[in-house]
Amino acid sequence: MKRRFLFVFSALLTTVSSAALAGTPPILSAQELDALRGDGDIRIVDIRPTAAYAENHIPGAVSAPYASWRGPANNPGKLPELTTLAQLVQQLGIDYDTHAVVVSTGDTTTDFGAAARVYWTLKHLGLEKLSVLNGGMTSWNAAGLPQDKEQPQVAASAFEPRVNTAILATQSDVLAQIDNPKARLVDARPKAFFLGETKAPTASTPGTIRNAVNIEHSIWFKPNSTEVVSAEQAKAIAAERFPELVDDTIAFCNTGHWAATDWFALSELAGIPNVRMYPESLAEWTQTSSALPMDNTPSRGAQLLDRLKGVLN
Amino acid sequence: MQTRSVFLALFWVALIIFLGWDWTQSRPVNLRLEPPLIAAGSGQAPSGGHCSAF
Amino acid sequence: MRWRHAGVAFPLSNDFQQAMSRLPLSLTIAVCVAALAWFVSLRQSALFLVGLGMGGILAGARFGFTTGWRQLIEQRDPAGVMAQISLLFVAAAISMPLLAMFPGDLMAALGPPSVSLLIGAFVFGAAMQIADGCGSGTLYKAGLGIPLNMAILPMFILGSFLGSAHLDRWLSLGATQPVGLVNEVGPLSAFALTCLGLVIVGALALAWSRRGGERRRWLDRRLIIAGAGLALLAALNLLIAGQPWGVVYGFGLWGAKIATAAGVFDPTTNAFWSQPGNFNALTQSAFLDVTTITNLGILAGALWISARKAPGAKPLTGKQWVIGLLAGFLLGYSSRLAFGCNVGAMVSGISTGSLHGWIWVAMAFCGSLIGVRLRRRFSF
Repeated sequence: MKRRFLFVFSALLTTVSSAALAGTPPILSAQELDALRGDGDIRIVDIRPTAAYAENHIPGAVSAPYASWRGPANNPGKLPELTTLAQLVQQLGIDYDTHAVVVSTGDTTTDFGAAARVYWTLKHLGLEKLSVLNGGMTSWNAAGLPQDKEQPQVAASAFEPRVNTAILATQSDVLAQIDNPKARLVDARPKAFFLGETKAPTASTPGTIRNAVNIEHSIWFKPNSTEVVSAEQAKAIAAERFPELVDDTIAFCNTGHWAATDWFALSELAGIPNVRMYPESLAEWTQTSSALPMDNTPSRGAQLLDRLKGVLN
Repeated sequence: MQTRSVFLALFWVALIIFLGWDWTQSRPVNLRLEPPLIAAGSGQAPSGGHCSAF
Repeated sequence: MRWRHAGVAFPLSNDFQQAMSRLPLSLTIAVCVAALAWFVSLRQSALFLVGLGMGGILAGARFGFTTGWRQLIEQRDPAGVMAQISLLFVAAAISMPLLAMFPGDLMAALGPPSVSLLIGAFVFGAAMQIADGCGSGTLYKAGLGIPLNMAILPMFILGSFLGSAHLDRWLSLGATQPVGLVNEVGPLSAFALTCLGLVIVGALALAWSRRGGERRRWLDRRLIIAGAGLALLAALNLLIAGQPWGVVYGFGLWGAKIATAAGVFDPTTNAFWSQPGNFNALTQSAFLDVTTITNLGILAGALWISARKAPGAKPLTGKQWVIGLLAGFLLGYSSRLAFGCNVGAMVSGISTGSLHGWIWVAMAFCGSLIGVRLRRRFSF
């Protein structure tokens, strides 16, 4: 009797501990986060504007507005200096054993990109125990879960970044992979941007990077929801879009925001290996002094007409 | 009058050859970064070379 | 050749013949305008049109700054100088408010008052009389096909380039910061001061012209209108390019490009050409340079005018050729030292409120007094 009990007990223990060692889930539902938020190693990072945070936030959450993770106005996708980011992470009291949960507003599918971008940034700095609150504060509110206004006292950590370059693609990386049949460049923007019918203000021309394919960021979300699909569903979508395996997948968009959603879904949810993001994206790609290869750009005639129209208005 | 015509032709041929040579050996024009037609009101500071430069 | 048929003259066929001979040239120019817009930029195409207008007016009205000064000095005829003064008046009236309206987008022609300015302007004033052409003068006369000025162009290019390469050494002799009146006292006061200066210069010119004893007509309508037209085009240049009209920079640039390609010049070790803006200009197409485009426009515009009225040119002796070419070299070198020629320093400097423009005029006029004498001495 005692031996059977010990056998069952050790089997249970193994399964439970292996589940714990299996890694942090990349997305947490509001209920799951609510259950975890009392744990000592949890750090909830609220990336909404300071005014929204001041009004109401998840108890124990710290504020780190999205802008502090981003670059200057003419190149928002550029990563801030490593020392600046490291200081930010230290001030948030995050270290390698902290489980950081990124919380955004959750009101649109685009907003998820902000959370995904911060997740990507933290992973790039070397952190591994990361999650995003699926649906952000919108789903937290919908679940009627508690919020408060208290600013938690957080002791600064001694975090030193161990930069993870495997998830970052530089401009020269992207340039090198354009003609590589074993690589995929993924444009995460809505179709109109991909086709060159419209452009962001930070890009100097409409169009996409040469040989890129379009995986709109919106396909990863549940219908009529701002929550991303589950890992299994993401795997299914990815298998449908990318039947063949490649060596390298690089996600990009205008400023490395929508791209973060694609990267997150492909890498963290669908579990596809070798997925990177080009953080500066097209804002940088189109502003280089010598023209880099692009597709779906307007003809010179169309460009001239557009300029003339701009002058006459 | 004849020599003058020759001189004239020489002048323009030399000029065209210079401009053609310069076009081929310069960096290609990046049409994506084309400056606005009118600088006034464009918000871009002038970057051209000028005689008063030092 | 006027045809008379039944006692009625048909001047139209004469004009028609001349228009036909201009047609290939007109078409070529139109193709150039379109090609610039297509392959380079809309702005450069527009500036080429501005240059064409400038060349057309300069050549069509024979608006010579050099000649105007010489006529005042030798013949006490102030018409040319008065037309230049009215040009400056109109240009300043438009440019100064524009500069105040668009402070970040437009820049004035601010050269530093310096030893090099004093020397350069003086030498330029002398050399331009011998070469019978200043900056704009050399361009429009070369476009019209006058042999000396055509030959001077490459000398001008060489001189400008060398001047730019040596500029830092000249500046070390002594230079102060530029003084921009629009920045210092605002556009209204700057314009008032400029008008005051112009009135004084005009009064001096008239006083000199009356010393001869006879009363001269000092307003030449053709020149006044041409001057106003040039002023409008100069203001358009400022509006479109963001910088005032210039001639000399383009020549220095062409010289630097040739010298660098020939391997005899290293821009990275030169104070002037290693500066980012200038270095950039070296490696990119000359068609992207503002002064290059307006220079080409003036040449082409004058050429177009010459198709109808090609000027005569006195044949020169060998000695006169050598002196003329030397003067052309000095034109290029000195104008670089003086931070502009009659266009870049006088017209653009004064009309955009730069003190160096006024210093330039004073020194250049003194130089012209000598230059006119030298011109007579060499029987030009």
